[in-house]
Formats: sequence, structure tokens, C-alpha cells
Amino acid sequence: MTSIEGTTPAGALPYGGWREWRVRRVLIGFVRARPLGAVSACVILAMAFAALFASVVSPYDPNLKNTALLLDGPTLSHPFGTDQLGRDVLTRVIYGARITLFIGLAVTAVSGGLGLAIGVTSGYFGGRVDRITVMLLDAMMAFPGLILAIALVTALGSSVLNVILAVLVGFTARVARLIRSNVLSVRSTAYVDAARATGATNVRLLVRHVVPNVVPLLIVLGSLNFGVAMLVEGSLSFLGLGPPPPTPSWGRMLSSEGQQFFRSAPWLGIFPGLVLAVAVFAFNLLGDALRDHLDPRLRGS
Amino acid sequence: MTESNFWSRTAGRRISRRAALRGAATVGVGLGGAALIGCGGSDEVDTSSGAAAPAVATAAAAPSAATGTAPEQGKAGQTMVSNVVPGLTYGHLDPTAAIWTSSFTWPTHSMLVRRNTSNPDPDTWEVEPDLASSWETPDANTFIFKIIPGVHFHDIDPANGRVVDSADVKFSLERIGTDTPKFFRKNDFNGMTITTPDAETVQLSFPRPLGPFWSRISIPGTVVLPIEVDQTEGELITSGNPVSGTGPFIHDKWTQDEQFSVKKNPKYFKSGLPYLEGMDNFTITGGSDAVWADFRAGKIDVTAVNGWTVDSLEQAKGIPGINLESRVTVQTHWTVFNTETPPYGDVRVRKAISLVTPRHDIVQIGLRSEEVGRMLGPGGLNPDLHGSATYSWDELRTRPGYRTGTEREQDIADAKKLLDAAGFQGLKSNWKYTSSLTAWPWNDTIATLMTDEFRNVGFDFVLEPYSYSDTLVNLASVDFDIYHTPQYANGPDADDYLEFYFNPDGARNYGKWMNDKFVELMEKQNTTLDPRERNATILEIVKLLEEENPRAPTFNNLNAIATQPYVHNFWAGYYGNSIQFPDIIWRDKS
Amino acid sequence: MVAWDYIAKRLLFAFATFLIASSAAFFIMSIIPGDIAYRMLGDFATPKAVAELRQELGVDQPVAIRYVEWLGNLLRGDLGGSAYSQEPIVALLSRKLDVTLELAFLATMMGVVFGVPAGMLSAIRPGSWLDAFLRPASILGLAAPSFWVGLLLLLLPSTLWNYAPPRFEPLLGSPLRNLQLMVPASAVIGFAFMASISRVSRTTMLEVVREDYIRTAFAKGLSERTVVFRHALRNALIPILTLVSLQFAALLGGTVIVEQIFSLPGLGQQAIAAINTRDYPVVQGFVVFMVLVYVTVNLVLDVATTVLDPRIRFA
Repeated sequence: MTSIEGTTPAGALPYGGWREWRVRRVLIGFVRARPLGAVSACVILAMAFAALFASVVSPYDPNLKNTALLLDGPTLSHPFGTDQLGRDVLTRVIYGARITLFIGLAVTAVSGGLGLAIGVTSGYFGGRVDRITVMLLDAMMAFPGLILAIALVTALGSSVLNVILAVLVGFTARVARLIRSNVLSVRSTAYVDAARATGATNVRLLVRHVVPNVVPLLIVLGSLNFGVAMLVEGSLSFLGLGPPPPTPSWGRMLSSEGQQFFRSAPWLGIFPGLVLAVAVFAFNLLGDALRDHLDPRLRGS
Repeated sequence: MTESNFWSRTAGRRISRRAALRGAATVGVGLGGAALIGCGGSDEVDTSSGAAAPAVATAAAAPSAATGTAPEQGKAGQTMVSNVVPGLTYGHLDPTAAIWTSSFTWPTHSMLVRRNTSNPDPDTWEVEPDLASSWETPDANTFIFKIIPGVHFHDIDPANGRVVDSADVKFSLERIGTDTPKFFRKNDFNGMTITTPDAETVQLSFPRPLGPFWSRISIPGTVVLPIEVDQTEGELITSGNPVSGTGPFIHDKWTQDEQFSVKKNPKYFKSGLPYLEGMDNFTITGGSDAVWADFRAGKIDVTAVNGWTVDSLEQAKGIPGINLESRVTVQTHWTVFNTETPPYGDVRVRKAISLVTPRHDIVQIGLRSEEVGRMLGPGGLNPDLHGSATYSWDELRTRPGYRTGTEREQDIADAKKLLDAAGFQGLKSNWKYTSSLTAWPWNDTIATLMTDEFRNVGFDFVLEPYSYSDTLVNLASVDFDIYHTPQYANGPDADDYLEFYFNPDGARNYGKWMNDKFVELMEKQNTTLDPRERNATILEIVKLLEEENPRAPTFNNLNAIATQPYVHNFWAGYYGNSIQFPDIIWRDKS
Repeated sequence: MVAWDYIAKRLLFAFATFLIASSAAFFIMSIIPGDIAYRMLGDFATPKAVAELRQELGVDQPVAIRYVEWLGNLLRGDLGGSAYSQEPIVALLSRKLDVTLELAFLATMMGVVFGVPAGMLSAIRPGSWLDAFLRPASILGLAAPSFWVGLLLLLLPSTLWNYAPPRFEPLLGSPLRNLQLMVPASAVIGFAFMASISRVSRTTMLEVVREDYIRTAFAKGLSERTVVFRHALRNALIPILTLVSLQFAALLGGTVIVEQIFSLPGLGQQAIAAINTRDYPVVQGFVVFMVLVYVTVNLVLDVATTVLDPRIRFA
């Protein structure tokens, strides 16, 4: 597999030293080479900022009712309009970012961590452990994902934590499977062989050589999964299985309010839907850019 | 008033809301038209619910009613397409095993008698002939019915065109009392003995007076099945196979969750009926907007839209030609307490919750209008349906918990006092409630409204939504402290409500409430034959329930029915839980 | 020479995977609180009635016993019947499969017909304005929430022109009416599918185009068209086909939302209904079926690639 001329020959992330100047150089290099990715990163950062500081950023309290302004269209004081309880939709979208991004983050981080551990162990040690692990992962992946999530949420009840759990199962299997195949190819590379010949222990090999080499893949997968996790949460909420009200989550705003008032108050459905689409779009663009930038070999994964 | 076409009288002007409701509720408007309603089949799985029905047909009265509307009849030979039949999710077609299945069985089966829809008085319950041509009551506890001779069952299994016999009636009525877990009405005709002196005579005898006899004999679950069902139990009805009946339509196609269709019975014993060639109901799962899209595109002729909001109603009203009306249903929403768990074992706490319940906000903000739902009186009774058995609307609005303005502030202050007296220290707990984006899209909003209000008196609830079918499990297994949920009465008679919700062994007395006075009064009303006298006793029960609050009533769901401009005299009303289209007059689509 | 050993091992492996996944389905269903007796009794469930019905249905047995019984039947190829309607599950699922299969097929067709050329176009001219447009466009396909797109697709025509697609009818019954409904419905899925196919096509084409034999082909003086279609595309097809078959298998279990929005009586709706009503046999039957499809597709792909490219066996 050839790398593509003209891209930054980053290869793998430098695992020698994470000195500050290096980080800065990598960042600047990324922004120059991938402006679209950089813009996406800014969009995501802005959303994360808004989510973190929702109470400062948003104009109102997300649960503040205003019976004088029920289902009022977009105005200067309520740019996204108000909902059926007179709550400010913009504020709820901002607070919704909290829930949706948190679910995305939790799913990505936990499935990334678990997937990395399972994938690396299985791929590196191989043999019977590997075969059994792959079998289990395959079994998990064979499950229709959304149906599994629906069954789990039905079983456990709908709360933010349970939604995360339900989405997590399928994601972890996919991440682990991809990491494992990546580890397989890293394991057989010349420098791992060389390191092994010098008498490096398994632990040292794993920590110094194998893991750093799968990190780029993990980052790319993470940013793509982030978007998908938000969509799955949206789908669950759409079916009424998301986090319960009055929690403002984009999926629920779209389904329960957006659908109910589609004809009379379209802003209830349009804004959360747009914001969700933009967020997922940004994560995908960023994932793409990261993939191209970090390791051209990963194209197609 | 029996004679005129309902729509011809009301189409031009909007009758007052109250009047419309009254009409609906009491089923009083007689029309040749029929009734129907329901929570649309448009539902996800959990709503099997439906609700429905009304007004029954003008059964034998059909000739007279039909005469009045004859010029409006239009051509026969069309199939009416709708999404109005609820409960498509049910796995069987047994009218005795679930209230909703009577929606399926109405068109294909007959009863002995039907409720007289032309009687506008909710305080009386008049019946008119269906399969029985006449009846007499030699004494208060004996009823002798003569069935129309020579009526044929449909030409399908299991009766295959055989003539109806009094043995079929005996079998069907006794079947209701069978002690099978699935048969929820087994106490309806307690102690009844049935004799069949000849093939056309059925005699029912009771050991003592049965107050609600006429309502029980004429609710749509009391249909006449062929005796052969006995041998095919578990094979036919229970698995959704067609069963031959004597109704105006023959069962044609039924697919769980998808479709229910019937075709005309050419040998129907009421000549000239039905006008329709068939009826075809199917499920629309995409929510109320999808239903509306289908209706506007002309895919369905008549629709009951689940989850209609006032906005949709207002929009629909602006479209020329479309007929639209809201109907009161027997679908009631309650806050159910587990009276065996603290703090709800204390009547003062229950009463405080009931006082603080923002009933006006629920109607005005949650439902956005009285055309979608209305406040529900104590005991779940509604003056539109139950007349003098409960408070009138004007009285109700003066009752604690139902008031507005400064009086409401007084109620909240009283609630605080009650809680203090009960030693209530504040509570952090879960608010379990039934949520369905298709059946009750507003329930989430209402839950928010209610719990926000309860926060003011020290209850810190976290919302915990459940689907309707999960709700049934939670309630039946008493896995709750407090629950806000819709429930369906079996029929519109007040007794149906009280028996199920409050009787110590009532199937829906989930809160385990017991009260000797209540049992005594129930016994009294149950054995009182005079309807007004009986209603007076029921009003006493209502007042007792208002004091004891074993469950706090919140609101009564209304359903909206829209019909295309070419549909005439289709009348939606409420009767028991079944959807009924007895004598539909339907103009040609062209 | 085909490696029978390998194929036998792979078969065994697939069977084990199948067994694990279908057993997991059984246990997940049994941890869901509440059971079918309550659902069947509905509003009128009393503890006594529930107990009686549970006994009648045999769901009062411990999980372990029911599991052994179920597994025994499964291995004999007997999935049982719906607890509600007694309809045999195989019949029930195949009745619903038609809809989902058609949906998945149409979506896949759209994905392939639009996705492959789009991916190729942007790969042949990387960095061109076309590439610059097609790449984010394909990401948009992946990013747009399907429930949102579906709702807009259904409701906008209704709001604007009072148009709604006709009610579902089987393809063989009335193909035209069927397609009027199924095409917009599958477009919702096809949109996302198209995006992923065009991305993979682009990537593979980019790689293939840089292979030596392509350079050789150009060196021989063959036209670009010949090189692209005769040589490059043919070689890029394997990864594309792999993606398409895996996605197709996944689609059979992923059409729930679209089925819901467009009122299609498909497998997904059936699965959700069965989860809600706790009709365990149906849910298990559904999962067993999905797992079977997944495992089979994987197996076939594996064996096919091995047979086509013996190098893989030794990797």
C-alpha cells in the first residue's frame, strides 16, 4: 500500500517525545494541510464549549416555562422560537448538546478504551485467545445493532446511562475488531521483530511499539464513531427510548416535539435536526481529515 | 332528532363545544350514522388501546333512521378505508378476552340488543333490537328475549351458514362468565341462569336485581358467537382466524399490526344494510403527521388521528369540506397511588397530590384545548357520559383541585397544610408515567407540567417514562409507588369504571385500596334497577372517592375524527370501547 | 487447489459464532422484566390470572430449562411459533422479510448506482472541483439523521401538495404502487449507503490507480477509459463488493426507522413489536435469522476471497 504523495508524511504519531513544539508543529501542519478538518474541529470545539458552559452561554433556563409565549416562532429574543411549554428552543439546543455530546463522548471513549484493550491483546498474543475473542466479537457484531440497543433500553429502562450502555456493545466489538487487524499487521513489521530480537519484553513491545502504532487508527475511529453514536442516540430518542424528559436531547426534541408540531411549529424540529446534522457532519469531516493526515494507509478503514 | 343527518344539521355552523361533546358522549344524536372512534390503529405496539365507541347504531331502528337520510345515502358499493380501528396489535379476535377486540368483532357479529343512540339522556340506558326482535321482563330479575327467526351465520367456518339458534346465545353469554384468566368480564352476569325453551327464545334469570344489566347486555363485547367456537377454542378466535357471525360484514382479512378488513354480508338480516361494500382498516405507524398526510392525499376516507393537537384540529377546520369532530372517550388518565407504600398510604398525601394537580394547565397547555382533553371528575366519571352520577361541569369547576385563580392558590396552601399534618418531610422519587409518541404525544409535556407543580410542595420527581404495555406490567405487578397513566373503562356505564378501578378485587385496583363504605355503596347501586336512583347512589360514591382519593383523576382523552367531504353521515361517537360503523352512509368517492 | 481444511475450520467457526450470538439473544430477552402473560392479559391482568397463563404458556419454567429446550429445537431447525398468534416463526418472518428485503435491495441499488461512479469520478481526478464537491457531499449523506430525512421526505410533499405515497402493497401485487412508496422510503437509507460506497470506491480506486500494472497499462498506450473500466474497476470491485454485501446484511436489521415512518410492515417493525409485547420466540427468531445472514455472508466472503486469492490464507 503506497502512501500518497503530497500528504504530510506523518506516518504514525511520533512516539518519541510529546514536546510542546512538536505538538504545535503537528497542529499547524494539520491546519495548513486540512483546512476543512480544522474548521470542523473548531465547530466541534465551539459546540463542546457551549455544552460545557451552557449555563453561561444560553440566554435562558432550559426548563423555564413561559405560558405567555407558547409555540412562538423565531424572534430576536428567541432566535430558535419557543416550544409547547414556552421554553426557549435555542437554550434547549445548547443544553441538548450536553446530553448528546456526552453520550457521543462516553460511547467513543469507553468503546475506544475497551476496544483497544481487547483488540491489542487478541491481535498481539494471537493463538487460542485470539480465536475465541474473534468469535465473541463476531457474535456481537452479528447482532442487529439498533435492535440490540432497543432491546437493552427496554430491559434496563431509558436513562442516559442505559442509552450509553446499549449503544456501547456494538461499538466496542467493531472497534476491537478493527484494532485487532491493525495490530496483526503492526506485529509482523520489521521493527517489532527487531525490537523483539533485542530481547524486549511483551509489555515493553506493547507499550512502546504496538499501541502507539494503532493510536492513529483509534483517533480516526473515535471521531467517526462519535458522529455515529450521536445518530444512534437520536434514533433511540426518535423511537421514544432516549433519555427521559425534561432532559433536552436533540433526538427527543426532534421526535416528540418536532414531530408533534411539525405543521404548526416547524422550528421545533428543524433546528435540533440541523444542529445534529452539522455536528455529525463535523465529526465525519474531522475524522476524514485526521485519517488522511495521520496515516494515509488507513484510508478505506 | 333521530331523523336528520347529523352533519346536515351541524356542518354549516360550529356547534358549541359543549353541545358537541354532549352529543358525542351521550351518544345521543341519533343518526343513521355510526360511530366510531378510537385511538387509531396508527399506533405502535403498545397502544392497543383503543377506545372507542358509541353510539350504536340505530339497529332495528335502521329503517327509520335511514329513511330520514335516504336522499343522502349515495351509492353503495364502495369500500371505506380508514385507520380508525385500534388494537390492531392484538394477537386474537376474541371479544371476550380483551376490550379492544370488540372493535374487530363489532362489524361481523350481532348482539341481542344495542344501546339506543337516539336517547340523549345520559341518565338512562335504552336499548333497541339487534338479533333479538323483542323482549319482556316478567319480573325484575327475569329477561326473555325472542330472536329473529331464520338469521344465518356467515358462510364461513365454523358455522358455515347455519341458522342462529337460542343455544348459540346461551353459549355466548355463558362463555363470558367462564373462569378463564383471559376473560375479564366473568363477573358481569354473576349468578345468571339461562334456559332456552325453544330455538328462538332465551330466558335469563338472576337471583337478585342487576342494576347495570342493560348496559352489560349491550356493550359490544356481548356478541352472539356460534356454539361451534366451543370446539375450536384456541384454534379459531384465539389465533385471529375469521369466525362466522351474523353481523353486517364478513371477516375478510386480518393481519396483526397491519390490517383488518371486512366485506359486505349479502344476507344481513336488516335488509338494505350495510351500504358499504366493505371496510378496510390499516395501521399507519409514522405518527399523526403521516396519518394526516395520508388523509389529505385521499388515501383514507375517515381517520381518527392519535395525538391530534389543537393546531392540527384548527388547520383541519380551515379546509373546506372536511368534517371534523372531537369525541369524548372512555380513556381516562390517572395518578395511581400504591396505597400500601408510604407516603401514599396516607390519605392526606394523596389528597394533597390531587389538590396540586394542575388540571387546567394540563388541558390548556398540555393538551392545548378542550377539544383534545378535558378534566376528569372524581372516580373518573365525566358528566357528558355519566350524567347525574357525577358533578356537572359547573359544579366540578368549583371543587378543590379543579379551581383556578385565588381558589387554586387556596388549594395549594391546603395541600401544604395536609402534607405538614401528615409529617411529610419532602420526597425524592421517580415519577413513572406512560409515554407514547404516537398515542399520547403530549404525555411527556403533561408529566413535566405536573412534576414542576409538585416540586412546589416538596416532591422532587425524576421522570421515568414507560410504554403502554410496560405500564400494564408495572401496574399489574404493583411495581410502583405512584404512576400517571391512561386507562380504559370497559364501557360507558359508571359502574364499569367503579368496578374496575376501585373494587377491592377490581382488575385495575392496582393501588390495593380498600374501603367498606365503598363496597357497601357499590352493592347498593349494583342492585338498584331505577337508573336515576342508581345514579344518586353513584354520586355518593363519587363524593367518597373524592375524599379518599385512592387514585387522582387528571384528564379525559378526546379523539378527533375527520371525514372526507364525500363521506356523509358518518358519525363518530363513543360506546364501550369498540368502534362501530353500523349503518354508514357513504357517498360515492367521485 | 482449494483448502478444504480452511473451509471446514471456517464453517465450524461460523457455527460457533452463530450459537453464541443466538444464545445471547435468548438471555437478553429473558432479563427484560415482565413477560408475555401480562401482555396477553392486558388491562385485566391480576396476579392469579397471570400465574395461570404463565403456566399454560410454559414461561414459568426457569431460564436454564427453557434455554436448553429452545436450543434443542433450534438445532433441529424449529424456531417455534409466536406466543401471541401461534403462527410459525419461519412463516411470520418470511412474510415480513419481503418488505425489508425489497427495501434493502432498492437502497443497495441506489447506493451502488450512484455511489460507485461518484467514488470513481473523484478518484480519477483527486483534488479536482468535482472531488472537492463529492467528498463532503458523501459525508453529508452519512451525517443526515435518517429519521429526520425520512420525516421531511414524507411530510414536505404532504404539506406542499397534499401528496402522500400510496399505502403498502406487495411488489408482485401491484409493482407501480409498491414502488411509489418503496422508492422514497429506500432513498432515505440509500442516501447514507451511497455515501459510504462512494467513499470506499474512491479510496480503493486511488490505491488501484497507483498500482504498477495500471502504470503498465497506461504505458502500453491504452486509453484512460479502457484502463479505468477494464483494469482498475475490476480490481477495485472486491472491496466494494465486500462492503456492499456486509452492508446489505446489516440493512436487513437496520430498516426499523424507515419502516416506522413509512408504515411498512417489515422485519424491523415486527422485531420492535415483539420486543414490546415480550413475544420472546419472535424476537429470538428474528435475531437468529439476522445472525445467520451475517455469519453466512461473512463465511461466503471469506471463502470466496480465499479461493480467489490464496495469499490471504497464509496471512
